Amino acid sequence: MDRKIWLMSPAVFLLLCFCVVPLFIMVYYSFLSDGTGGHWTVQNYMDFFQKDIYLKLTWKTVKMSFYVTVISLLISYPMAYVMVSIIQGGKNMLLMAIIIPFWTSQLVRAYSWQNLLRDGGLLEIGLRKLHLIGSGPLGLMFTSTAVIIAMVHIFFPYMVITIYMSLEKVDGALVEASKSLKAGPLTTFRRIVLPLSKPGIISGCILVFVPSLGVFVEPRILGGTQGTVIGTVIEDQFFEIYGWNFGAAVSFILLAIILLSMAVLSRFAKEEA
Amino acid sequence: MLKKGIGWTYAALVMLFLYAPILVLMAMSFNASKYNALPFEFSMRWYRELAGNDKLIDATLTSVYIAAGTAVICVVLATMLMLWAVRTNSKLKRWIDSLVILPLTIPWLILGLSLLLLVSAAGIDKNFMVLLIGHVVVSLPYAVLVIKARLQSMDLTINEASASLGANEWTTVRRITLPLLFPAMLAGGFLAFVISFDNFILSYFLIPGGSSTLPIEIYSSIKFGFTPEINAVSTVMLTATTLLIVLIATIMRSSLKFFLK
Amino acid sequence: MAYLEINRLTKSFHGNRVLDRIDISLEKGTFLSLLGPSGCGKTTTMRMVAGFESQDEGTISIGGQSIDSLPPYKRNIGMVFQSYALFPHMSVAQNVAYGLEQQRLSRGDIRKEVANALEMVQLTGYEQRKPKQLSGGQQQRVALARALVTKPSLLLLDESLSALDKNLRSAMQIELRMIQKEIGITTIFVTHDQEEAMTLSDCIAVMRAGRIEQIGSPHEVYERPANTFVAGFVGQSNFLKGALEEVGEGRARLVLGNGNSLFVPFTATGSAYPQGTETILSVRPEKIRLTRDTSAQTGMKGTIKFITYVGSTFTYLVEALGQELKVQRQNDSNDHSFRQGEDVWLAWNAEHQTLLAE
Repeated sequence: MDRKIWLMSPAVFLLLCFCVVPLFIMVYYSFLSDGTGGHWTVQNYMDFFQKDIYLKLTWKTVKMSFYVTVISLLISYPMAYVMVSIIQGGKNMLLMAIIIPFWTSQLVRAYSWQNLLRDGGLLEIGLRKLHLIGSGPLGLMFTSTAVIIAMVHIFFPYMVITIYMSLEKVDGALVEASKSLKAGPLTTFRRIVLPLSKPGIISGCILVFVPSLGVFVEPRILGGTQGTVIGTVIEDQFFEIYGWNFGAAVSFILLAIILLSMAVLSRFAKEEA
Repeated sequence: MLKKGIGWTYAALVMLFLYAPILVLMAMSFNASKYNALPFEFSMRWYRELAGNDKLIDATLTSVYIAAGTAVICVVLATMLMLWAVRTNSKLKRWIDSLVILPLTIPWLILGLSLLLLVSAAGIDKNFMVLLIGHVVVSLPYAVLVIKARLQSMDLTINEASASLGANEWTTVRRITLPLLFPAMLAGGFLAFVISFDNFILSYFLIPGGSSTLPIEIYSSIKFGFTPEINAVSTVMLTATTLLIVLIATIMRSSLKFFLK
Repeated sequence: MAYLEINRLTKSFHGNRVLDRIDISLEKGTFLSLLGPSGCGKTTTMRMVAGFESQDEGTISIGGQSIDSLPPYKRNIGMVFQSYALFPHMSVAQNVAYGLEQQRLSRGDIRKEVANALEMVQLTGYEQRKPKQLSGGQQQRVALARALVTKPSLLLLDESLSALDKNLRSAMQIELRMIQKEIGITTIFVTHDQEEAMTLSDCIAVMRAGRIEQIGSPHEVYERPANTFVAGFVGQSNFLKGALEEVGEGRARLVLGNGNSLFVPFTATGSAYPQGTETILSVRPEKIRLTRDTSAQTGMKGTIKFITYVGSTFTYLVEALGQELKVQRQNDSNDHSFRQGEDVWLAWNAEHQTLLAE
């Protein structure tokens, strides 16, 4: 059997050398004092944990990802529910329509919000026509809100798909059984449908929350001065400041936060199952 | 009936949220105004300027070459890997499954800069080889997942049937497995192409000095000032990837329909 | 030496012994069924013969030649899979030709052989269809033609009829048997369906937990089961467990575990069954006679608890001496006058009972 091992070795070799090994190099760098040389030190980590600004930025990034996740959930669950239970005919078309943007450039999609959100942009014009805002500028562009809007826009399709898949698996007979036992639609939803769709909700949350932690393009394009997050700190260290060792340490901390949140969320999923 | 109306309205609103920015961007690419100002005035001006922008065209070609290379390498590696995976009951398999998924769980930002650190640790300059490898690493999981899905829907006893009819393993792979896998390989390849073509972050970290890819060009014009051609070039890019995705979906669906009894 | 010799075939998975010293020898042209519940090792045995799994110990030889070291594609064994495993991207003709192409036959020969094979399974005219355009029964025939066209030394059928519906299945059973006899190919058929095994086979091997419990003709296995497992798995049986006392001329007293006793017909010599021998008497439901006459020499009195009617037969559930027995009678105007709750006498002949050790 294992004569065939050559079949898998190129892919495995590639992933080991160019995905796993680089991560270890990153960790190695994060404990060096100066570039590729210098001496062993934990100073890079000390710098991070001792400076208020980095802790605040970390908290801000986590909070932002949390908002993005919650808003995505609020949009996605009803959407998935509508697709499964109400819209029967156009389901596949709708599914395609949700999936397609998810494969197009995140960069372009983030940028596309500029036309709408900027002062004097389409959203401002529209809201003014509806007399929802006064004559002042909209003031949305280059704020955290703009970043959150774009991130929701980019990440929520993941969640629609995962919730849709778990809802579709819910056996219609269960819903009917619940109704036959004199449960109202709300009770049926709360006691039957919602618990059964929990795995989809949780994997959707992972798929939105985790990439949200690591963004830097969206804050750069739409966040302006408010758009500093861990991701942009890391980028700055590598491209503007050349603090590679500190950058490596921050990256490792980000990776740790990501792995931790994945572990916590999937623990949730396991408990439910 | 009311329920239906509410449902459709909600779906329409979500679609509006999803597509409005994209459609506005596309519309603006045909607007004469340099500052995306209204009223709208139709013009092909930005597309004409695009056609004359050698830098953008070069960057686009670079992107296409990298994406094509990535696609081919990913399909070959993923197919080989999966041919091994269906034939083995090795304990390694679970480890390798996790290894293949790894690039999906790590932000591209971190992958990109860890590769940058690898380059620096190796004491070499940034080069296209490393860039290409980076693209392969992030695109490979998608190609593997598509091919794996196809293999899982396949009746694997047909390989045994082939052997029982006197075909050796190579003949079985060549005449049975690969022809049945071909649509998935095609779809996996296109998907890897799209992932690579759209990828900004890895290229941003790994591109050798003096070169550029399309997403890098778009990013720098967004960052450093207002370039109305960006609307046009983004429109071209969105249209191209959308067409590819629709093509992939069609291949996958029709291939499934064709082979599922 | 027989045509197919399987000697002491043994295999363990993760410390579980899934096959335990399997011995089979078959004469050329014999149709053997491996019959047993799932997990009994019948499929593993077949897959070892095909070469898809390797044994820990034991040997397999066909026509005096050991095939243990040959890979599947060099064994020259035809196989029909449970799922048929037709190549979905090839037409019927291409499927059937596939094996011939591996033998490097000329194009003309291949065309001729394919035509003959399809004629044999009555699928002439279907050459250009794709498998998914065929019904289940037609797919089955293609799979059979594909397996037979290479003239293999052995044909393996893996639960091959189980996917078909009942009527088609019995038609296919007959057809399969006719083709098998006509070309005289030695065949191993894996099934969990005892009726199918009885219908098709020259020889049945009843398997349980990796062992062969009994191997013999359908008649032997049914009429002379080796133990209670075989008696219960192949058809149904009533079991009376007890000790033999008062062995006499023509009858003996069987003392049941609950203290009740009855006279059973007995023709064996007393020396084989000394006083007090523990035994399990097995008698098939259709072999028991029901009468209202209670003066018989052997048998027992019982009360009819329940009657099921399945058209051609009646099944009576009778309580007798603290045991429940099943009795099956033909629906032939004489016998179905019994009512629920009625007392009856149960009797059977010595040749219809089997005394089992376990």
